[in-house]
Amino acid sequence: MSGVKAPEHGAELGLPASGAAAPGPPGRAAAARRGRLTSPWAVRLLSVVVVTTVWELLGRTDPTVASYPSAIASAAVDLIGDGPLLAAFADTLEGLAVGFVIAAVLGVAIGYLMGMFRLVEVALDPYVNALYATPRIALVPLLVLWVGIGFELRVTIVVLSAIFPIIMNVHIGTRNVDRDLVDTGRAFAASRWQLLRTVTIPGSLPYVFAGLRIGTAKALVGIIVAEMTAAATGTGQLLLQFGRYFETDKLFVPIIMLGLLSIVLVEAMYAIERRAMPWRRTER
Amino acid sequence: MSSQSSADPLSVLPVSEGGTDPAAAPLLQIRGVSRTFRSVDRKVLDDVDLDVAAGEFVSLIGPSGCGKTTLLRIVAGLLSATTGSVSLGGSPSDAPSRDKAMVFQHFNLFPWRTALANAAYGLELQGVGKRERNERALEYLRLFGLEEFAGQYPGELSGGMRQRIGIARALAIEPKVLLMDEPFGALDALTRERLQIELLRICETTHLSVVFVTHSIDEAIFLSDRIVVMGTHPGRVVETFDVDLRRPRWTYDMRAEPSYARIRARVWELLDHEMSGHGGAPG
Amino acid sequence: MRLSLDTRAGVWTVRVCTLALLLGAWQIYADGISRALFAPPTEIAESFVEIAINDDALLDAAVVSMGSMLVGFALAIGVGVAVGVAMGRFRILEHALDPYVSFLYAVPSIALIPLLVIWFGIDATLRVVLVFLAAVFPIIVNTMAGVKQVDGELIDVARVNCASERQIMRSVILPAALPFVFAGIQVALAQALVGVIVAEMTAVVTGLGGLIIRYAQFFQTAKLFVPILAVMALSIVLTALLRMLQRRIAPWATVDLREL
Repeated sequence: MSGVKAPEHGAELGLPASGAAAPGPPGRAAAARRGRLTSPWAVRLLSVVVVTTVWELLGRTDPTVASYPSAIASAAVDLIGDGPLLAAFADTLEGLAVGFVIAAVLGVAIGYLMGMFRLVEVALDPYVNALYATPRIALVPLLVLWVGIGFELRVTIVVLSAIFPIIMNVHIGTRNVDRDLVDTGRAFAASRWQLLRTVTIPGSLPYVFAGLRIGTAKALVGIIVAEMTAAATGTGQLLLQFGRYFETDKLFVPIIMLGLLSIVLVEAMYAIERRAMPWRRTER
Repeated sequence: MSSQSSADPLSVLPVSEGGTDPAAAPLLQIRGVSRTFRSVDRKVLDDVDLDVAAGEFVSLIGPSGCGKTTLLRIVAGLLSATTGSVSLGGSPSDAPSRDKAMVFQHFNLFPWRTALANAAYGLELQGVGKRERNERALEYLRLFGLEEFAGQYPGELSGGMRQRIGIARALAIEPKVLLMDEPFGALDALTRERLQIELLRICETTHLSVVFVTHSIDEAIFLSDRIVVMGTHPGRVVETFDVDLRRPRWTYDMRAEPSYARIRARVWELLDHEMSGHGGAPG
Repeated sequence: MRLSLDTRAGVWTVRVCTLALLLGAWQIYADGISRALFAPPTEIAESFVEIAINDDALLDAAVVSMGSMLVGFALAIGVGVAVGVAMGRFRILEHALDPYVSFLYAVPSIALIPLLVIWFGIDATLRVVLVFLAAVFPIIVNTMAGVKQVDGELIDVARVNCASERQIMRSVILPAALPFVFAGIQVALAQALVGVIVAEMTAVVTGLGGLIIRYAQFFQTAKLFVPILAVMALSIVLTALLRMLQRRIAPWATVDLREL
């Protein structure tokens, strides 16, 4: 067995080969050998406790710089309780959801079209790659001119952020279906459409889900970009607002919540993926 | 393998009359088939003629690179012949059809389908309704004693089980010709022997024509009515042997028969010559 | 004579035709409907000449942007690989740091801008810092994954040969992890570019991002396209250069993430 493996395409946008936005599974065997004191969760807990304590102590000396955990916590309570945070979050989620669904439907369709029809692939490929390579924020001024600054703009930005990794991964997925399985379908006299339905689509699902997972993360970036550059509502606006008034303790709250949201969304995609591909549980 | 069920599982198989009738027109006719690969500019197959009668079991054996797998894939319709023709039952047959079914060395089961859905695959493509095709596929799984695994995914099953499902999948469409590409090559020796016997049992009942590619002389002798030895550079038929050992072959030790030794020695000699006479170590 | 799509000629014919169609339709639409909204390609070309050739503004802006980006990117590689290798090799370090790495990796970098503005004010340092933050986490995560997947048996071979930790690192771990490191760096490049443009469009208004903002503010649509296309071109060129460089250093470790 060669010691060098190629990273799977999940690494395409920063997801490691172990396949999660969070690093790999805890080293259970290693922990068992070394005893509970160095178990992963103990170390993590200790680490977080230490950092939080240091932060708390240093932060109190000059709260404007980086605030400190207890202040952030109380700000969180205020903001969530009767503050604007939940409303802003709802706006963010709305834009995110609508944009992602559109991106998913269009992206999967275009990806399969590119995989099935060489003409489509050849024609669209340069544009997909060029737009994928362009930071979406650079397109915002143009989009503002064309679409205005309402909900449509936010959705458009989200769609443009999420759709390209989806298209690309679906496209690659159609190419990477096991050749032998395609031959098997052909040997049983499958028509072109039967091959698509019974072999190509199921065989490319792992890539489709990798694309959707990456698309989810990109959609979140997209909605925040939209909100921070050209919108009047949403979490992005809160960030700008708190920053403008140097309210550092409040500022950390949406940042932390966005991080958590991102993790939750990716994990949710993993859960959906596991349900959609029940045969993967025992593979390899 | 359970044949202890109240109905004999083999009863699901379509029975056809008689054994091979040498006077009847051959079922499968391969005429002048050549295949050159553009990229390598090499003749992988050169003017191969082969007839397979209805109910006949023919093995193709030869060193790596002799084109036996290529020939099989041409018959299956997965590859096209550069020249020559393949006909089945008198009509041309150069594309995949429901009269031909293939079993692969690495099983090629669809990981996303259960055992039952895999076995029913060919039927599904032919448009057979869900209930009927599942019933029929289940019968073929029962043939191999696998009916209790019908709902499991291939990833959960052993190699031997997977290949049985692969064979069930091929049999389920009731083809006239079964094309097998080193089907037992990826299995351990014990499983291989069991599957060889199971295959012969099925052939006894259905009188299916089989074209079987193998590397193993013993396997070829055990299973076949006829052995076709192929050579390389270019791929071609070198010699053909009739195997005159009586059937059923699992009821005695064929190795004790004199004709076994004779055939084996001759095939071995031919293969040895092919492998060493053409530039050194076999593939 | 049918042109096959499998030949280079066929492929490029299709692409040139679609481009021509696209530009043609664009020109007609923009001329007819609204020049302010949809600058026709001809005007864009004129603007390009004006900005890039007559004025040097484009080049200056590009240099400014690229300068910050490359500094931040280089720092990200240095720190990212070091931390990633350390985390991959030493489980305790991995567990201690991974809550923060996972978390910061998950937060969209643009969301950190207000905080960074408080810390660094609106100057060049901000851009480098944002680029660094955008690029370092993909490198850490991918490097760590690469180190962790190194076959334990290969390491055993080295240990049996009495290799020191440094020798193990150099002869086994780094080469085996290299494809992952390269993949991480490719991803990080794209993120770095996003980072610098984000910083320039929202906080420190200079460079290419600054040009975009400036032309947008004055509704100079035709000019607006020029820095946008420049960013697009830079992205494609830099990615290609990176891949070439990686192939030079270690062809066996270079993965084309797009494979198209």
